[in-house]
Parts: sequence; C-alpha cells; structure tokens
Amino acid sequence: MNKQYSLRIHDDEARARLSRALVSFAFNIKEQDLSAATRGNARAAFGRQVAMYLSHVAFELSLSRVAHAFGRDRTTVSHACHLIEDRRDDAEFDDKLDALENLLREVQAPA
Amino acid sequence: MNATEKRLFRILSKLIKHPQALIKDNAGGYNGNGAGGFVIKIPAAIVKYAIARGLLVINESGLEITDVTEQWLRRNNSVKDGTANSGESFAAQHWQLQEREVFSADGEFTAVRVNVEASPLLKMYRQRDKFGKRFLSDKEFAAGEKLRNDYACSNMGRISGSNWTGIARDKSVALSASRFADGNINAIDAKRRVMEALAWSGPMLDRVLFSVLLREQGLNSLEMDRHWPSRSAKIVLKIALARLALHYGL
Repeated sequence: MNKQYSLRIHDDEARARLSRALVSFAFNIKEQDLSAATRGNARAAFGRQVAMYLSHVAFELSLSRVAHAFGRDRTTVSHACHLIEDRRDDAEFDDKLDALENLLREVQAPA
Repeated sequence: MNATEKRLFRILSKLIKHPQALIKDNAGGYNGNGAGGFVIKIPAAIVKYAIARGLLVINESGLEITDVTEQWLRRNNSVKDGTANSGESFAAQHWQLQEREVFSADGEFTAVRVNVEASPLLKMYRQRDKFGKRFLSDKEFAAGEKLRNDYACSNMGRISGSNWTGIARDKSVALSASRFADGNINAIDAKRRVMEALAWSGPMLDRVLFSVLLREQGLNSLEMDRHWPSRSAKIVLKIALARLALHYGL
C-alpha cells in the first residue's frame, strides 16, 4: 500500500472518530454504540447517520471515503445523507446540525 | 433530487430568506456576512455544482443568486412537498396539478394529472385574430367562467357512491353528521344557479354549454357527435356565452 494512501485513510478515520464523538456528546448516545459493527437500536443508527452526514458535509469527504472510515458501504452513507438532509426541513434540527457542522469545519486537519 | 441538490436547495432557500453578501474563503467555499442574524456558509463543492447549473454566479462583489435561482427553488419545492411528481417539476412551476378521474372512451375511469387552473375557455379567450381582436369578449369569458365556478361548487359531476362518514357510532359523531348536512347548502344553491343558467340559455345552446364548459368536451368531437360542419361549434359557443352573459347581467 502506498504511504500517502495509508496516511489519507488514517486521517479519514480520525475525522470519523471526531464526528462520532461530537454526535455522541450532542445527542447523548454512547460512543461504542456509534462505532459498533452492527446497526444497534434506532437511536444509535440515527446517531451514526448524523455522524456520517457530518463528516461528508463538514470535512467534504467523498461518500466512499466516509464509507471506508465508518466501515460501511458507500450506498449506506448515501442513504444516511439523504435521510438527514430530509430531516433538516425541521428548523430546530437544522439549527442544531448547522452548529455542529460549523464546529467541525473550524477543526484543523490532523498533522 | 439527489443529496447534493437537497443540500443546495436548503442553502439557497436560506440565502433567499436572509440575503447577504458572500465572500470567498481559503478553502474555495463562500461565507456570508451574517446579515439578518444568520451566517450562510457554502462549501466549495456546492458552489461548483450551483455555478454549473447557473444557480449562482461569481461577480466582482462575490457570489450572487441569478434570476433562475427562484424558479429552480419553486420547481423543486413542489416536488419536495409532494404536490408534483418528480418528472413534472417544470409543469408545476406554473401550474397547479391535481389528480382527476376522467371517463374514457372505453368506458373506464382513468386517473389523469390536470392543471386545475386551466379552463377550456382560457385558450380560446387568449387567441386574437390578425387585427388583435379577441374572438370572445371579456363578458362572454366571465360568464363562462362563472358557470364553471358554480358547477365546481355544486356536487354535480362528482362520483357519488355510498357515504359512510355519517354513521353514528356515538353522540359526538351524530352531531358532526348533522353539520355535514349544513355544508351542502352552498352546493345546493350552486346547483340551482347552474340549472337556472342552463334553462335560460334555452334548448340546444344549453347542451353546448354543458358539453364544452362542464364536461370539457372538445369542440371538434362535439361537431362530430352532432354532425355539424367543422369549426361551427365555436360560433354556437360564442352565441351561447353571449346569452349566458345577459342572464348573469354582465
């Protein structure tokens, strides 16, 4: 594996960790539920979808990079982005995600 | 709509709601100055997507919306809220589409999508001859539309079957059933107005009014049904509408 590629994967995984941690804090969901290999309960699944959406939107990662970082399929991430984008029609939820998105944007890329 | 379009839709709706100057940041995205108490941030990928579709344009002051932005939003809004199907967004930009059942020639009801604002008279009213004069006068057009309105208010022309809403399961339901009966007074009155207008226009003319305005039969098929010479129904319709306008006192 070439070095640059493995570095990129390392960065993506770090970003995924950060976004999971943020969602875990903001939505009060256990972090190990978000990083679980199986779906888990509806709350955990929703939190994971938010985390995937945030890393796609705030870090501007492609869907397949997000999928790799979360250990999911590319289409799973696409589904999550659609779902969360629809949920953002609700103003309260939209404001909350705007705040989280801006927070993640401010973070410097891992060195 | 794909996910990028949905995202763009949300961002542009906010931008229209809170108009603000957008200035480029280091990453190629654009940030608003927060006028109206709301900071809009558009990431580089979305900016690229929007410019490619002509929804945003770069000029000397930064990023701005174009004249097609609002049209695009209106199109997608009707798709998003479910009033239009995904293939008819352009039609929904100007029309108010609705499902309607029509009785087809082979004797079956078929569901079709129609523009509820369209009227068979409207097309004829809009046409002008080479001197710029309308074939139908304003009064004739108004009379025809009035008859159509009354017909729409009445319960005629609707499929009536068993109505199970009024079955009384307890007292409160029985009360609402009686209120239901009150609501029909408007419909009964509208029906009376339609019947009066048709009676006043006299035999033959009332059939033309009924077929063209209320059943929405085409003039061509009316002529074929009655073995009239072609393009004659238009004249008969004009005479019928002129009589109708007299009846309404226009």
